[in-house]
Amino acid sequence: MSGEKSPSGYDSWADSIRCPGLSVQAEGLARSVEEVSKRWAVLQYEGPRPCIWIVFIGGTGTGKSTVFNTLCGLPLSQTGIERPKTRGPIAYAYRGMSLERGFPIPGIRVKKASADASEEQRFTGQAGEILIVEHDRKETSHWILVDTPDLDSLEHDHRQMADDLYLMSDVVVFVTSQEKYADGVPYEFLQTIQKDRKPFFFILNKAGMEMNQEDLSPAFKDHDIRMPEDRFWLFSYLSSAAPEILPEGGDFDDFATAFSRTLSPEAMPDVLREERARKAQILGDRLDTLLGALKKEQNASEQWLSELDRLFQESCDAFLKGQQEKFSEESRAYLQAEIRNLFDKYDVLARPRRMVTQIISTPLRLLGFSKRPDARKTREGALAKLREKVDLSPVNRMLDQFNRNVLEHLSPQDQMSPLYRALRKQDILITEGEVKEHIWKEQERLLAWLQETFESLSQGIPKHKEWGIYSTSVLWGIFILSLEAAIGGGLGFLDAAVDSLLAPFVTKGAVELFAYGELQKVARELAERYQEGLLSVIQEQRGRYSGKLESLRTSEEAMTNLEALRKTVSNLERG
Amino acid sequence: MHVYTGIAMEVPTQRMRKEILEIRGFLTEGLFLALTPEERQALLASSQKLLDRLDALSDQVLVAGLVGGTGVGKSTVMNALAGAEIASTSHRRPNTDRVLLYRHEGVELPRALTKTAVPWHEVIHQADGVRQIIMCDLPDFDSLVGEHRERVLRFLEHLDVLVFVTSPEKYADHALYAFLEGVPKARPNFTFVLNKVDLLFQGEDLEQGYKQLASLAGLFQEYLQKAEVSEPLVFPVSAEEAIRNPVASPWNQFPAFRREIFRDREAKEVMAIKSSNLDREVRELLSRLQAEIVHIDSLGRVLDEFAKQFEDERGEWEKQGQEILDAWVDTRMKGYVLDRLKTLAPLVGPGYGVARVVQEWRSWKGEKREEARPPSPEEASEPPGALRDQLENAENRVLHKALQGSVPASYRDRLQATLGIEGAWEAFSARWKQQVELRLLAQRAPLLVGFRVVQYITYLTLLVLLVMALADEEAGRRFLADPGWASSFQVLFSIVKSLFSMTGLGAVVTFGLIQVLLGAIFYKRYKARLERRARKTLLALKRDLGRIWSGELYRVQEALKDCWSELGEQRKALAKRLDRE
Repeated sequence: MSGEKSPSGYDSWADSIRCPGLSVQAEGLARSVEEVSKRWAVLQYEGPRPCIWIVFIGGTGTGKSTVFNTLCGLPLSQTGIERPKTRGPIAYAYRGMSLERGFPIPGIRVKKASADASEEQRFTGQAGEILIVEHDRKETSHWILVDTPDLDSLEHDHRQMADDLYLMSDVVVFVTSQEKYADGVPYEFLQTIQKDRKPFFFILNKAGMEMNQEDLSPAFKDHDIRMPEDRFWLFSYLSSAAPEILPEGGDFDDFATAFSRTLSPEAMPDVLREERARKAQILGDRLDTLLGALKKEQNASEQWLSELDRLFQESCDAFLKGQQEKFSEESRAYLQAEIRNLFDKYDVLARPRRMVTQIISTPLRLLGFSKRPDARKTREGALAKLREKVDLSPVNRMLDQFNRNVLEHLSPQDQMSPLYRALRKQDILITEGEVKEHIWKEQERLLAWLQETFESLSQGIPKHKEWGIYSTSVLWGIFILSLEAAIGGGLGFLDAAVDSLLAPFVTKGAVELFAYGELQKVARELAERYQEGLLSVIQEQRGRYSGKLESLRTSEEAMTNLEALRKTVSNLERG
Repeated sequence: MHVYTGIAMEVPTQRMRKEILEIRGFLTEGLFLALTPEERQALLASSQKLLDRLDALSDQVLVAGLVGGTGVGKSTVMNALAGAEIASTSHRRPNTDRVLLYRHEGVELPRALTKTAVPWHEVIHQADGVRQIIMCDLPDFDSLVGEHRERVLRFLEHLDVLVFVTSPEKYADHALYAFLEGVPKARPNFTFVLNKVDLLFQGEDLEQGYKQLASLAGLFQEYLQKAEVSEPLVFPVSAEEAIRNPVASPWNQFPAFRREIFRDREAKEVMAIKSSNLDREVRELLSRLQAEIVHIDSLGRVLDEFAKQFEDERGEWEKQGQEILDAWVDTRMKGYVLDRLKTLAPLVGPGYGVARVVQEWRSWKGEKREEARPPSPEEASEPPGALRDQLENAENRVLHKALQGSVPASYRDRLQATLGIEGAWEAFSARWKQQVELRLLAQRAPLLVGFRVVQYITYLTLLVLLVMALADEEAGRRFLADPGWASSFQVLFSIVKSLFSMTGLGAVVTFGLIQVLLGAIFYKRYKARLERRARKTLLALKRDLGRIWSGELYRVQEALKDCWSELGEQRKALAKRLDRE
């Protein structure tokens, strides 16, 4: 990530940061992402503009606008006893600074006006909008004075606006009054300014005659506020109705002189360099915190996934154990019949054998001894029959158990976290219909695989070993037996089942001859595939859960981008 | 001030008591509650406090408190009300950190107030005109000293009337409205004082001052209404001017404010003020239980949905269970049933002999096979685990739904306990075993008298035929014509004679062969009969066990219904309380 990217570029990284809400509150993280992206945008916005942002901040009714007006020398910002008065920020800046270009705070419109001393202009500002009043006074061309809405009124948006503009400030003029200087909310803000080591001027407005700095020092001391002599100003003026401009002479002039001296054009480069480095440093700290939180969340996600894996494994084990005990007779029989059918197609001796069978069985059938065998089924017919008969209830039961476990053990406690909600959406669950589809598809694949195996065996084996027709037939016989052992003997005791079924047919010589190992391998593979087919449903369900988590967490790529941003910011810190 | 009607005086007291007791009932016995034990305890404690206050309702003393932000001039208002400097005022903020009480010497403090942990001190006065009311000056709620806010909140319970003091600078502060919202008192007992309005009248232009005052008061009213104080009573005053000037300026409504606070109130009105505050608190306590209704409804939806599904699938459940138990009976029980039936008593003669030979042969051949059998019928009759899986599946499904519906953990535990699959399985398997045993005991070895008679007759006939075959024809005829000792002796003699000839040998061998054949036939028939009988028994057993199974399913359904109706009752009781306004 390069330092030259436009602010719109950052929104993309901010958007790519997600959090399932496992170890941190998603809402808090989103706020911190927002703050970081704002701070970064501010740094880039201010970088190329050589001017000092001076922001007036304070409680409602303390007379911020009056002080602002007096410093501008024009009654720009409307004053009055209706609270809150200033609705949106008003900036006073030198013409041609093109402040509107790439304004870094999202959601704030930029409007421009021209300062005209001859006209009666009074602005109150508007919510969600910054009004830039442009002037032509060369001597203050390096200042941008910003009057903000209050910090503490019942308009919550005002507080947000003040916070945002504070991010942009290089210098803060903190205005309070005799009545409000001990209020909790503005005081906390003062503490933040102090903590950020931002240069500030403290103005105690409407102080009356009896106040002095000594009255405030106990409160300052108690709350760790250091107040340098030249930053504390006391305006004794008590207003009837709020005045637009403070009267000339006295307290204010001293302040204005000190203010101009501190923020003179000569002092500007130093002020800016220091302040920009500090902004970068704070951004760096915030980024570190954010990265830390994200890493913690990534770790928690990993742990979550491994827990999910454990639950999955548990469900699979329980299921297989259950299957061993009560493997459905019917599905077994149908699967076996199906294998036989398939095998018949490739069995060289199938036709003569059928003839013999028919010759023998016809008289017996006539006598009523044996039933007529079913007409030869098509593969589709067999599949349809199989589907009808396959007992899905164990699979569904396993799913129910798994789903309950996931919600019971893996859902975050916080109802607001994205993962909490995502895990409870109905569409994350596999429906019974889907289970059916899934199993059918798996079985179809199983049969296709069987067919393929039969086919390649029927082509490959005789050519290789040049066996006679008889031996091929015996080979097939053993093969079919081993397959049935795999299907019929339960799933767990596969080896034992295959061995015990094959043993009587396989002499020592035959082992070499018929590649017994090969057969066993195929049989085992069949059993494994069958088993996987059943478990694939729960596998799919696990995939849905883990996929959901993946979609809710920050991608590796976004993390790398963020790390890169951290490096860029480190460079800025060093200047 | 709010107008109180005299009728609804005693009734609300009784009603509130009943409500508080009901709330306590829910808290102690509530079957479904998502509250933690600590939360329960806290709610119980505050309900106890309410009960105490209800008992003290007849107390005639009103306690009024001045509440406001730092620097708005609460203490100045206090001084102006007292007509003397009793509270310290200063430009240093925050100034007041203890509660100051202003009390007539003849009035006793309410007992609860004397026990408060909030630090306070008092000034005793003798002004009889303001005898009835105790004024309190409280610390601020918005300063950087967080402890002050805590003290105000803790002291609130002792106040009957609240006077909110603010200023032209602070009336739009968020802190005021945030605080206001959380005060558990009836809104008509709030009075608002906009202090320091003298600042608006410092200029020459009086008219301008009035205009500003009107717009300011209007805005304040508007904000208050937004904060759900429907008819706010606002007094724009300057306490400082009221102290300074014996005759207040026309814009200063301090005298009116003073009159309102200190006016004579009838006993009924005092009680109404107190009980309206209590009523508000009771409602707030109840609203804590509002969340329970949401939880109850969430569980209710889950139960409803599951019960419907269960009803629809009941047939399927029964069928699946029947299949499982059929297979179980066939594999596990058949051998036992046949064993129990197996007695050779109904077989006689050659049949018995054949049976014995077969039995010996079997036992000689099948010695190894015996070992595979489970050791005892007790263990063998353990019901199949697959049924348990079925029941657990029901539990899994309903609990998964509950988890999906964000039903709180305590509710889920309760649901699981009601379903009680774990405990029910014990009972189920006891019933199951009992049934199996009953059926097996009922099974008796058949006597088969008719079968025996047939056998006897057959064998007898065969014997008669043998005798006829051996006896000399002539001797026989003579015997029939003249039965007597001589003729019978002749017959016997002829039998013995042919017995020791070739004919005799042939007859005896034939007789023996036929005997064995008959024995085998009888044995086979007997076996077939046994099989039939066993099948009948097994069928009956399957039916019995099927009934037990569907009984178990019914129990689950009933448990869900019980849970549902318990929920419903609790919901009804709660909703009745909560919806009463």
